[in-house]
Amino acid sequence: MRFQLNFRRMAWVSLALLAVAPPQARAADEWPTRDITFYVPYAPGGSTDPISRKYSELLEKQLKVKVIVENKPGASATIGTGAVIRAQPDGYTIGLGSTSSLAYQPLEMKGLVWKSASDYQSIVKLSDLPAILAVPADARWKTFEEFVAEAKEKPRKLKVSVSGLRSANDINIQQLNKLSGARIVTVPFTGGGGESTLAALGGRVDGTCGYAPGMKGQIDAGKLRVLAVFQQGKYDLIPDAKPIGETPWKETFPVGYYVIAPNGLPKPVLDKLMAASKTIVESDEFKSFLKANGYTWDPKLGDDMKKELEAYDGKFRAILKFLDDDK
Amino acid sequence: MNSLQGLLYGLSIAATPSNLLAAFVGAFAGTAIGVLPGLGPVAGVALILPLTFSLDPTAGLIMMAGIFYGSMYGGSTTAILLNIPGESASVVTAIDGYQLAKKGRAGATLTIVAVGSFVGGTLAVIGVMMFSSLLAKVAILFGPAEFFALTAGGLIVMSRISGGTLASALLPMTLGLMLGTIGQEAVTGETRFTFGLPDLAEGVSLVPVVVGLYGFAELMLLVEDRAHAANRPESVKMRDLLPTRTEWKRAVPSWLRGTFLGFLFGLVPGPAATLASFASYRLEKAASKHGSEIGSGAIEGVAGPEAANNSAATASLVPLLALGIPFTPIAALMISAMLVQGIQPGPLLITQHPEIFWGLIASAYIGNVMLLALNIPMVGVWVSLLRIPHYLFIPLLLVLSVIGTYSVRNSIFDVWVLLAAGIVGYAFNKMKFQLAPLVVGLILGPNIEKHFREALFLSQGDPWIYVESPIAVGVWLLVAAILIAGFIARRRAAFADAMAQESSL
Amino acid sequence: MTPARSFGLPPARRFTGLLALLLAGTYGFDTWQTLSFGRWHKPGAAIFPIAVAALMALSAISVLLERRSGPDDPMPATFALPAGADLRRLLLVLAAFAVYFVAMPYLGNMIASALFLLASMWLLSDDPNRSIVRLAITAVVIAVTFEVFFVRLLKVQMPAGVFKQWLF
Repeated sequence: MRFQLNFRRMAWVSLALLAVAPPQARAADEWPTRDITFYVPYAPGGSTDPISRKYSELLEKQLKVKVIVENKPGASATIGTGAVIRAQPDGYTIGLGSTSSLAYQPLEMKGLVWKSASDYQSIVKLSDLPAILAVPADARWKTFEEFVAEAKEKPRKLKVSVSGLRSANDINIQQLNKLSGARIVTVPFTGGGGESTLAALGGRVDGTCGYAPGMKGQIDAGKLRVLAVFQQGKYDLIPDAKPIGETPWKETFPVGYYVIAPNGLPKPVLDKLMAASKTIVESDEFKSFLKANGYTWDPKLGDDMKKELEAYDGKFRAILKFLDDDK
Repeated sequence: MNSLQGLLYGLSIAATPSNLLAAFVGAFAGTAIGVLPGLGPVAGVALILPLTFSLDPTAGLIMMAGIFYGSMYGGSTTAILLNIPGESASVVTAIDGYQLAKKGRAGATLTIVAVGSFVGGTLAVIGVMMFSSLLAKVAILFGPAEFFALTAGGLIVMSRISGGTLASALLPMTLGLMLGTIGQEAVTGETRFTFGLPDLAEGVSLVPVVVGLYGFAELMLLVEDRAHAANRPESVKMRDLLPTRTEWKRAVPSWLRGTFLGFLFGLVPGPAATLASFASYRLEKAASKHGSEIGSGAIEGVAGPEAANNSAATASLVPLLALGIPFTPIAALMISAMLVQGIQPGPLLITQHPEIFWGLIASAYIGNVMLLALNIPMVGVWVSLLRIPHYLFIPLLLVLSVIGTYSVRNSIFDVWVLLAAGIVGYAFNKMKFQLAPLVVGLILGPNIEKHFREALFLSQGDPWIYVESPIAVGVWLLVAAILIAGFIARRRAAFADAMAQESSL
Repeated sequence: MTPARSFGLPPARRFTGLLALLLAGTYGFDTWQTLSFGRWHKPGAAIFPIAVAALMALSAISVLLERRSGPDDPMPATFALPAGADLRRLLLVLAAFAVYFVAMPYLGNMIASALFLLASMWLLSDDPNRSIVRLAITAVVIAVTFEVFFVRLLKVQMPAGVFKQWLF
């Protein structure tokens, strides 16, 4: 009897607690009132972690709450990305997406909860990370044109190491093959990109396609020579590298990093998040961080970012078709 | 700047109060993380990474190095005391370490491990300091074909690492290889054997398997059998905390062999520390005078592997510092820490940022000393843990292994893997199948496949690539030599046995 | 003496060998059906699993063909599994463990740990006069210590659960 009484009292107390809790609408106006979680769908280390942490650090200052960065790696970044897209659209879960996880993986993997850019909320594009093509310092090619000329002359003889088949660097080389008619062989070295650079240093391949931050040390030491950078304009980190945009084979696939949220964010939350993000990407602190780390600044907010990702969908379909035909 | 000047310069940097504090905090937190079954060096360094962003770069790297050494050491504590390897590099330590602990030598063994880690770490730092630019060239020589020889040869040599019959080792090893094929494979990114479960796409990770196979299975044995628990030493006298003269004497050659072997493994990519400890255990079996006792509680079986994994961990700084290329996940994290701070690792690091290069080398010395100072007094504390009544102890360890397993990938699925591995480990224990080969298979399988296929991509389908380079041929010849030597030794032992039986008749 | 049931080891191992043979077959068949072999210059995902399946079949057969070499064989002839009260206790602890980590995302690490500690300590303690209050205090103290040390201090990421606003 007594037990029952206590139980009843507990039920009343919990009901009272529920009544005190603020209703949903007011919560959206006051957002953010607690910590925000920022999912990074990659493991710590590598190029994705620093940029996520920089954005989160600046977001913390803007919104005056803690932004907790949580790494949720796996399955080509689709696990962490899926976790963001499936989260409650309350503004307390946002995350990093990349060209690969947002636009490419839906074409390759079945059963993902996102098929196109309409399946999640685009917030802001943080940066592009372009791939570079480098050869060992003692190689006979001094310029990008010489390299491509030889690749056309002797199809399937020149080998370039990439960090995994169908990685962005592989796709860039294949795109070059498609547009120029050359046939450069890509050799996958999976192991965080380090082994791919090592293969070029050891002379096992003719060149390597990868990202500048991981190769900068070797470039500065004069062990690698950069022939080209797969982006439209000059690359601040390596100004001598020839931009592919200045060659006849213009189309490139930089790795873009984006901030996404689940669809259905309340309007006040979305507006506040966009405004904060705009301030961040336009801040000098963020820009100098990007420059120092080899990222290219190319901010796009909301719908502009969505349009870019939709365009990538078409570009990826075209290159995949070329690869299927060219087996 | 020559090495001695450099080292002095480094010491002057590392010995500032704030950097010493960083080394201490790192070594201490590392030990605590390492003791947690499942949380090993990689997880430890990853956890601390964000923290280092707010520190000065040298202090940040010193702290990461401290965590690294600390957790390598901490992992062997539970392996010895409880047969629960804290991380994969201490799997072999558990074999003889636990047997020694059962004989009441837990304290002595922990001391041997602490000193052995110190010896391995310190000698390896000297090696790194003297030869780093020279040794970096070795790493460049290794391509897919050479790695294939190393990993596939390693699998053959290490398949019978823990003794027993061939069948008792082959079945678990193949099971390990099989588990290693689950998930998205590295080369072409195809997803295999996932039964549609997204969690499996990431593959079966090593941590829950190791903790489950050994730790969980051991705990189940404890739950089931109270007599088993009563085997534990009731009280440990101070005298038993220190190794005897004979134990010291037997440990020294093993330390040296382990250090040398570990250093070599540290220079090439791959799970260096784990492989080094396995290889050293195998070497001790063959090279030590007490080789035949290994498996039933010989100090060599602990001293060698522990010196080896610390030496390998330190030697993996060579490719990191001299090439700026990460060969291990930990090195990748350290590079990430440098990049965030605006420091470019690579051949020019030593001239552009001597304070980082020499500071890190010096901190390795300091970290090793600190670890020794921290852990020798702790030996008594660890051993007294064994006296906690087991109704309290088992739940406590189960909770610890869940924290350790879950937090590596934030995944409840991994805890299910832990449970399943525990049940398999329990069954294999009962049926006298060996567990260590399963771990070897799981570690080496994905590496073997990757290098095998990458070699064919590289040669455009020409299979001769596997035996074209002198290094690859050399490795294969070494594997053949070890197999033949083992065969002869077994024949001889069988012959001697037969003779002995005949003469006794 | 704790209650136990004894089983013959050789039949148990042969049974395991049979399971392994079955596994090799299914695994090999699945590989054959679903994965690509590629070409010589582009080796596919099926090659290695096929080799593994063959090795598994081989090891299964080597287990099946084992013969005991007489009474001095180092391999024992039998093994024991728990029975009666011991078996029940083992299964209950396993069940409590499974409930523990399945409930953890909802209850949060600290609460789930405390509950599991209490349940399993109760199950494992031999003392007939054990006091649930004392065990509960121990469980809470350990759970809170772990939470403070690992989660708060060392930043190990664990689920906070739905009650996180009400906890410190």
